[in-house]
Amino acid sequence: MEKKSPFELAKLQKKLSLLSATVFLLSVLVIVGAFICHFNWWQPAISEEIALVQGEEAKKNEWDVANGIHLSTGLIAEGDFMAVANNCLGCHSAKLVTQNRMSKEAWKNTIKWMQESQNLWDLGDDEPKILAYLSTYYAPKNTGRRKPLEITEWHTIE
Amino acid sequence: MREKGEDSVDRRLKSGSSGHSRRGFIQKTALATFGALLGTPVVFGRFLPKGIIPIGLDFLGDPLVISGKHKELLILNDRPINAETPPHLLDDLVTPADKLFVRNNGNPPHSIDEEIWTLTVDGESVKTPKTYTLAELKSRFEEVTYQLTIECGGNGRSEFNPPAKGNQWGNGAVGCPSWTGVKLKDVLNDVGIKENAVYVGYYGVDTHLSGDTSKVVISRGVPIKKAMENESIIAWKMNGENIPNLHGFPLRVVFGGWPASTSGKWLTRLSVRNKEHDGPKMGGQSYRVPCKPVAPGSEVPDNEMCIVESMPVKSLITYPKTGGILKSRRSLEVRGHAWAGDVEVAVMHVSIDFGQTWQKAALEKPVNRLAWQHWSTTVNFPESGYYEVWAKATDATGKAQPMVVPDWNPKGYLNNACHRIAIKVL
Repeated sequence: MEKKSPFELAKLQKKLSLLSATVFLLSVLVIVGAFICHFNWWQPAISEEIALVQGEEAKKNEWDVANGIHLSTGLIAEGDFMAVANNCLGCHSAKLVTQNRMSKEAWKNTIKWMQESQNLWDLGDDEPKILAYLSTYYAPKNTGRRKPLEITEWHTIE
Repeated sequence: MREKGEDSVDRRLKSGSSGHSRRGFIQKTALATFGALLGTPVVFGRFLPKGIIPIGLDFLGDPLVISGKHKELLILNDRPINAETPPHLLDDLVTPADKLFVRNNGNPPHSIDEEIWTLTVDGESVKTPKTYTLAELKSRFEEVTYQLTIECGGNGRSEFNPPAKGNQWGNGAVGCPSWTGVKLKDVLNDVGIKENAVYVGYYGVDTHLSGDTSKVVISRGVPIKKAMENESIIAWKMNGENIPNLHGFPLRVVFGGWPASTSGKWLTRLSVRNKEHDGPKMGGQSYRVPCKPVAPGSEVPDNEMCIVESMPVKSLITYPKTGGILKSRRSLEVRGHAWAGDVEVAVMHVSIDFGQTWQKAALEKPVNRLAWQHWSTTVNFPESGYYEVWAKATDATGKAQPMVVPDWNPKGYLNNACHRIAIKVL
């Protein structure tokens, strides 16, 4: 292997650091740019009424996640949840998904029922992804024959 | 004419949001979104400024509100709109419009013109099909008003184990408003019905969720025997006013005591069939339970499923609200309603010791057949501690509500297990 002189090495190092600085700056630019497009956050404070409308738009931001929940859909933001969002939520609310708990077979039967009677299309490659997601994050829990009462807020009876 | 969009689900900012600028909110969410872009797990609940909840975050308890409805209704689904009433809001003797549960299979129609609305009665078993305008229905037949209990067949579904699919109703998919209209039998007799009539199916103008306008959302009905009862009515008023759009304006059928899905909304057509009606959601597993009891979790073929008809005996404690604390006394008035499908409730009991002993409650007669009945009693707690008040109705045939969830069925219908509330005595 050819040996580099200390001078050449220093030059190479300089080039490398210049390159990484450029890459870093570019990434920062891209991210900042993305934010600006994403939120239009240079806009001055606006009236409540419009905020409602724009809030609807903000809600649609694809990436917003809170407490593990994908904000614009309400689905658990794990695995292939976007496959569910893309195939299922055109017709019905995600609430119809998230309030249910089923085994893989039962989710598959539900999809089949929707295909037979509700105009759901062939899910193609998305079907195994959707079934894996649903049967993992929306699987049944054994609740016994009757659950204890759950009280969210106690109140005084006068 | 009804105002367009009156039944839409409004997404509203939580109160107190006005003091915060949108910019402040966005800057904070942007921080969190940064994390999402980088692919790291993000937990940003703590970044949210107090009082500001992004619109549509219903899973955070965001106040989704349905126009014309009490704000405490629990919204199970916003497309289609389905919402239930917490039991303590059902305390009224006659259920007001804003406290009646909402069950939709499709999207409600908009911009309805009463002037041109018609009802057509046809089918294999009419002598000649006939069409009535609303004005004709109102003027040509005797007007009747009944208080009729309607309850979703899936009320109580959330307690089934293994879980049954569908909207996970708690206890509140029931109500008993007063309905005004004409007897269905008067209209059927006016049209002329053949001897071979078996079933009456309804058709409405709600639209299919898929947007496919050729698809009927739901078309169910009742056997001719139920259709010909005095209390089976074609209604245009609820509690003395036009039926709210979400509940079927301007015309619907009401069959008290049967699954509410038989009481079709936005009624334009009745089909008198010479066989069991075969509209959407009549067959398959919809509104059906296994003809013979099955073990929990069983697969049941369609041909072994039978249509749900009269609903089972059931009751609610509507006062007090669950989670009550008694601070300076040990006696408590409890009250509620009880109903039993086609028959009457004969006796009402409550227990404060988890079903070991029962005391009889005072029970009123229904104001008319198929109306719920009011009950009340005073319970006395022997000492301080945690109690549950359980309510158990027994119908005229001797059937009583079970203490645990009754026979499991694939779609989770007919859970009439006794209603329970929690009380703490200090």
